[in-house]
Amino acid sequence: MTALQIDQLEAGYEPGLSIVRGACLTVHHGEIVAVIGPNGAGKSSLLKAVAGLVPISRGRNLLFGKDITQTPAHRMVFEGLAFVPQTENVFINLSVAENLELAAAIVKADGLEPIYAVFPDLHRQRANLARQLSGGQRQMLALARGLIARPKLLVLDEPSAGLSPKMVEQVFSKLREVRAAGVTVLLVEQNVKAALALADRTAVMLEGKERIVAPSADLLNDERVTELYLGRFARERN
Amino acid sequence: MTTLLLGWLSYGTFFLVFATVFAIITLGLNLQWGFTGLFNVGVAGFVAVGAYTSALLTTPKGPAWPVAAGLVAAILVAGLVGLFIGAIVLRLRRDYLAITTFGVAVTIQTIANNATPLTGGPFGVQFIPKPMQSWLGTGLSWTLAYLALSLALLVIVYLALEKLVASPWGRVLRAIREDEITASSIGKRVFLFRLQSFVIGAMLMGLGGALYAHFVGFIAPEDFLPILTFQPWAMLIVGGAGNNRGVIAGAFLVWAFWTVSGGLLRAWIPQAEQARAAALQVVLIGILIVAMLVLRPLRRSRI
Amino acid sequence: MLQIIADGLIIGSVISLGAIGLSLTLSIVRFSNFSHGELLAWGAYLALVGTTAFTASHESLASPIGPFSFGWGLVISLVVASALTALLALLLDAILFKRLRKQGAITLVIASFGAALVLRNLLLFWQGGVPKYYSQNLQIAIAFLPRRTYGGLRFTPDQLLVLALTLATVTALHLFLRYSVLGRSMRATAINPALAQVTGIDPERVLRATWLIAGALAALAGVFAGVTVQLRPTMGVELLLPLFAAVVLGGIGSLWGAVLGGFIVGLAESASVVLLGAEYRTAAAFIVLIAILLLRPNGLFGEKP
Repeated sequence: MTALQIDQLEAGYEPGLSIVRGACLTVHHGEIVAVIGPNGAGKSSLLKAVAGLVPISRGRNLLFGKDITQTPAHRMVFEGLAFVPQTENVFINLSVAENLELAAAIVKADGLEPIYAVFPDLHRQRANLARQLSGGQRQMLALARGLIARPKLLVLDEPSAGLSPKMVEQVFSKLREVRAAGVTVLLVEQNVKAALALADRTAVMLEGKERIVAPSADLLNDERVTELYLGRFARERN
Repeated sequence: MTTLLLGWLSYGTFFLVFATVFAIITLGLNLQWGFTGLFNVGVAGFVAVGAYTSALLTTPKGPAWPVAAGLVAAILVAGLVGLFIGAIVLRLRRDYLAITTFGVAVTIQTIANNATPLTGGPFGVQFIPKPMQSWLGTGLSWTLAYLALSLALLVIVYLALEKLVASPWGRVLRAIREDEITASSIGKRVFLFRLQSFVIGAMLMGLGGALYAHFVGFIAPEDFLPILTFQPWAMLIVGGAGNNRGVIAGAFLVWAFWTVSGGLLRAWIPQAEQARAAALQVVLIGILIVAMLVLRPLRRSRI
Repeated sequence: MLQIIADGLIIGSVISLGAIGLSLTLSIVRFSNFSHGELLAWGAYLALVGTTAFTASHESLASPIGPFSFGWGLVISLVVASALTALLALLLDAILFKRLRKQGAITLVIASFGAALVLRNLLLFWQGGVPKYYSQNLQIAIAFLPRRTYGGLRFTPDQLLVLALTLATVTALHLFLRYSVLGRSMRATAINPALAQVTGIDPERVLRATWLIAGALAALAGVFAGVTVQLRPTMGVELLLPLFAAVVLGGIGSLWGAVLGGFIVGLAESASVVLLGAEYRTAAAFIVLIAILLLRPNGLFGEKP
């Protein structure tokens, strides 16, 4: 079953200036798919377009068969799609508990026990303001906030950004747990090694469109990936 | 027949002088907003500062300076007020400049209205000397001469601004407006450029105020109400922000509209209800300008 | 001397209620609404119209309730006026501000300035320039402290009620913002609008709620100003600078900041009446504004940096 089908998507903030140019991607149920690529390739914009935050001018997005192309951003959680932005992904002036309680209240979730069970650290810190958390803990909070709605598809923008390797491993380990619980995961990553280690399949995006989509294992030693990142210069050097 | 013609000529000249004064003020606002992106919601205050400074310094009961000196003083004092406000607020959020300039206008009006020994209170300053009066008398020839003076000043201001904007200074300003982050690698200079622009704009507003004062001959606090802030903004909106020639055209157009609509309303509404007529005029024009904002977005110059 | 504090609290009550609405608008709708003062004026005048109408039809509604200067006519009119002013605020957004949202802050500011001019002059056109009052009943001040104790402390019953109702309203609003889902959604939208959306919060719903609350609070403030002082068509623009000063002082987005800011500006105004004379009241607000911008631009409890 296809969790997410992105078809010929064109999207951008300004009407004439598309950042995402004809991107296509299929994410299967229960997969972890990573999108990598150089800066400016449009990876973040692709995710934000799927999440309803960037206007889409052409193309379609299907979530488990339902067309969500025109769905406004605030309805996405109710469709089963949770988005975790890269920066400013928690309400910094609210406490951990308040962050989670608000998310729970909006989607009318049963309570916070299930999420605290998965994130015991957050339970300990529940009275602290989000502002007081370390980078890694904030990322966990952002992740927890996304999971409260029991999404079918979890979309994350560079979850490893600014984190130490140890924290990255903790976050990614959580993502594996999440996938094991039946949630499909789509993420954008700058950390190519970590992304390839985590994801089942990886898409390499360049200039607004995916160029290579393959099982991560195949891409680990693929010259084309290096080439796309570093350009022909790398190939000439070799 | 000649009296009718002369009457029309006189009326026309009055109209043109006011339009010219507004044009100068709006050019100042255009420098602040159109070229530099600064929100000045207290234009009336800077105009008032210029008007009162020149009036009080040139009045025969006071220091009795020559009018030219009064104009210069008006420019400088308005510039100083701009410097004071700019220094405090320009580094902060843009909303704060709007709020503070509004506060300046309100406070200056309050002081003008109440510091009676200095400003004449609600009655304002009277017997403001009119330049060249000794040779030209008070008739049409004087009015025409004053118009010539105002237009000359407008042309000088326009040319100076065009040169300024095309100069290296202007290029930096444009760079700041287009991409502040790169431009601020020039360091503290971003703030200084904005401040300079703000002060020059304020000076022009002061000049406008002084020109108004010496034309009409008397000023009072009620000449500098918030509507005097709205009118230049309306002129900017109509003329197109960023384009100096457009701004001048906008000033003349809006002023024409204002005087004609005022005249029509006064003709239709009975004498006893004149105050209400004035209120109605503001309502109608306000709605019109606001509608323009919705239909014709306020875009800054692309030069 | 103590009386300065007493008077300051009453002025401060009006400013606080107005400032809360302005602060909410600034932090959630994200622009400085220069027409906010006119909402206070319109609220006050709508209540006046109601009171006059009620008094004409049911004389009993005019007779003062207990020690207060007004009758049930004003109370009912206040409720109705609050609702109407809330709708007026929403209407203004729907026909004007909503269409300008994509254009950026300065357009909204200028539009709100224009809207203020229109609203104020409409009021002038409709009601004329002469000050009006809700009732002609005089009030006798109750002395809480005799004059020999620092000048004494006196409040009229009306003033005490205004103060009490202000505190009650602020408390209710605090509870609403703290504990209700809508209230928390509003705070979240103020902190981070994009994140609020992906959390499932409907931005338009939050905006509508903001305008309705701001309008209702403004009406309340306007009526309080009318009860404790008088009604003038220019009362809105005259309160605007103190309102902004209170918001900046308290910190944009903070409820208690707006309240504290309002009371401090109120105290500054009542102090300036003694020190500089009543005419310079607005200058006091300006001085407070400049002072806070120089010393602590974020305000006392500024939520956003």
